[in-house]
Amino acid sequence: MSLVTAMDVDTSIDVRSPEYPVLLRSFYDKIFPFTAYYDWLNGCQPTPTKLFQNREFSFTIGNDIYIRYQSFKDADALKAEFLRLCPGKIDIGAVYTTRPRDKKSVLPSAFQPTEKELVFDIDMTDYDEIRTCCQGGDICARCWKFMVVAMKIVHAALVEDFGFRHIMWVYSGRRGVHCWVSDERARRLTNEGRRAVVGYLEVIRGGASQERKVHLPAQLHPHLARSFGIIKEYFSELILIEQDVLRRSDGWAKVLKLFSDEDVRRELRAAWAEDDEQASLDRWDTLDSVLAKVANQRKNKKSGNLALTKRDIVFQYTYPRLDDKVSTAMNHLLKSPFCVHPKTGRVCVPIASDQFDEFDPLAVPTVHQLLAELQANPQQPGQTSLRPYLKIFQDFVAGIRRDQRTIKEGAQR
Amino acid sequence: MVHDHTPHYQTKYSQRLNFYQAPPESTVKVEDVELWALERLQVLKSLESALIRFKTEDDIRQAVEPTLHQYLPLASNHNRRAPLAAERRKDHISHFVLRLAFSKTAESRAWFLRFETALFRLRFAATDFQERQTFIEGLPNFRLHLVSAARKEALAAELRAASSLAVTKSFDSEGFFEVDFEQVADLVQRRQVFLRAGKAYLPLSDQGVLVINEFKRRLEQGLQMAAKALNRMDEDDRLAPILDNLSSQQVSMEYQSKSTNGQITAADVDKEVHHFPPCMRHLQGTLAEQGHMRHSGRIQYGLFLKGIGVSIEEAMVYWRRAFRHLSDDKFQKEYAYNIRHMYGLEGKRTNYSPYSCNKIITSNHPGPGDNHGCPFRHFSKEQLVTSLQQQKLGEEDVGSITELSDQGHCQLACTRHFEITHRARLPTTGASIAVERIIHPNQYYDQSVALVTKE
Repeated sequence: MSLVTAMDVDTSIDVRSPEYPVLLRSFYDKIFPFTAYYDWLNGCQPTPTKLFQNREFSFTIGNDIYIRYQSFKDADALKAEFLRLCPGKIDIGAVYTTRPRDKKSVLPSAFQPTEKELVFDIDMTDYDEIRTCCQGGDICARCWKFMVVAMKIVHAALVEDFGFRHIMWVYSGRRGVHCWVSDERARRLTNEGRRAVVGYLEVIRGGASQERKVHLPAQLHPHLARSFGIIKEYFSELILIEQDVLRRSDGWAKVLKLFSDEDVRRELRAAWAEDDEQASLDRWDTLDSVLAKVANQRKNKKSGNLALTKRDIVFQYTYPRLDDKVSTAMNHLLKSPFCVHPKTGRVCVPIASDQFDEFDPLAVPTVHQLLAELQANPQQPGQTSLRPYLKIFQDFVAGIRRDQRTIKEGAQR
Repeated sequence: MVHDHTPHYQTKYSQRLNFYQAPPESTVKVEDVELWALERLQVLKSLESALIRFKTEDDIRQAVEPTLHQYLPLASNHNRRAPLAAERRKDHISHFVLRLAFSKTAESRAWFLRFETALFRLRFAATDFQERQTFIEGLPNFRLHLVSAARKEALAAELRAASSLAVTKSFDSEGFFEVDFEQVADLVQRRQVFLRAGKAYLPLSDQGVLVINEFKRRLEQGLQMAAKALNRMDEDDRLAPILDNLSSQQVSMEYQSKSTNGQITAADVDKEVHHFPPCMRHLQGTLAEQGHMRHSGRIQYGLFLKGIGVSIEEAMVYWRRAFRHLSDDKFQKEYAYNIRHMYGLEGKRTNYSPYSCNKIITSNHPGPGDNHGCPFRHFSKEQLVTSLQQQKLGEEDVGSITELSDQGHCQLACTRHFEITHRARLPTTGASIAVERIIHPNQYYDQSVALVTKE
């Protein structure tokens, strides 16, 4: 996507170095898209509304100073504060009944969250028990595909089932994605409504002591049937070939535990243990033949269950894993788009919803790279490698503006 | 301008079911007020415990039936012998008194809303078709938007896929209606309804869900209004003590930990493990093994430790040692705040109480990589059996515990676990052993400690 790839730039960022805030200040001053950002949070209204003025911002300064409940009267005041504090991280919270900065001077009952975008947070650490390529904070092109599948499935449900139109996906700067649904109806969802959407999307359930985390009925709900279609496109390549989850014994032992049927377990263990190093594709074929064999012996009795278990395993290894706490509480904070990730230096850029497959997290520009580009070409701050991402953001905001106009015209008529 | 068509008071009771839209107008004796409200509270409490213990509606109904019959009978119009008006008046008045008593705090409002809705659901299900229809048609501001035959035909495949077996069988004769998905949030959450572009499509046979949700929505508003009214009512010295007494009844159900601050040092914690309930043993073990624990586990375990008497200073030492892979700097920056927060020293400065079984079982289910929760609810059978065996429980004992947890009786399973692991110390009364039912991890701990000190 960009001419200068991340590999050309020193990506080791020292957030404690005295230069880092200076770097951030130039970024906020010259590159951060304040106009579109303000329009987005102000619902594209011509003058500042409560939507913007009663919105909570929170800042992380330096390494560990955390300031909550900040709010601003307009775009200029917001930008001035960004430049003054040079926050390393910016979080966006809810819109409240009074201005968050007045929180201390009003009764708690007069300070209640009234609306916020419906948000989702998908983090690669929740995939640690299934991915084999990286752990923790690291990602690579192989495990990023989990995010691609997740975005496709959640996006389809939000658009087709819930009818939302203003959805923005954002790279979190390191190992995950965020989703912001800005439709008025989504913003006004109660916590109960948010729980409903999350429950509707959630399939993987259970903690570290619950091996089998997916139990779906024989008849798949339309959302799950559609999701299964998406999953099947990726399962072989992602799980069997690239992640190769069944190759090693600790990997296939996990899958073995998902079958409650003793015959299947015994047969599968015997077959898989024959070879220490076998490609997952071959092991999966073995699984198919073992299931067929056991089903045959049963003569249809209960054999349907075996096929369902296999289907649920495919779900367990591929279906999105959501961090539900972020979505279900209206006042929960989420990192702002166009923040700079303090560990990687990468900008949290939007991802176009028709380019999920094409997006490459490792090609996202870093703040160092952008400022170097700006230095080389100071006359044109809009021409850095951030440009395609700015375009995605502006298109998203333009969509909200169009809707706003339609509503207004409708009201005038 | 909005016109309110509901009357100011409800005086007539032509229907068995009641949305409690208007307060009662009748003179009531103060003694009756308190007695009736207390009796209704008995019903709500028995519903609470039934909802924890049972899963199917039939089981729940059966568990509550005796209490309901004793304190709050509500006969149908077909029943000519029952004192219909008196029953319904008592139901109405007791609801409003409790509504006021429980409107004070957000917590008590949520509790009342949850179990009043459960009670309405139970009664709605027990009402016959005709009486239901009359009730629904009489509801103000409640209309269903029916789906045309052509639209139903166009969506047939999806509607079938999202429907229950019963609906699929009678699909051709079934009518459908559409509502905004927010109105049937519970069905959406369980994926039991078809959605298209923000609308939910339901069979007419499911309209009860909508009625129940509407009941809940209106009661929620009613509680908000009651909370405001309560502020203006402080002068009434006859009602106020009664309301206070009633609302304290629910609070007292929460277990209050007996230990006081500062008795247990960081070094003592691991020696106390034999008094811990299984959920806390599991968290302690995981922490020792991994040297790390996720947020929800830290809260569940950390508040429990606070409850057994670990002071904030000792808690800091304990967690610092437990997180052995971390540098001091990272620990101070990312975890110390969190621990101080639990002790009410940061943020909102709330002095948080240890979580009850109920809270652990019903809220914040563990996700991938999480270790919190209740072993009897959130472990696979295999894991549960393995962990019980590791505690040196015999096959028979393990079986008697999993038999209970299989049926969803988590707290009974935990109580059984207590009996088994404390068998040698427990006094036997005849054939059975008398142990108080476990409803709180700290109660498990306190009971276990009490047995040892008694010796």
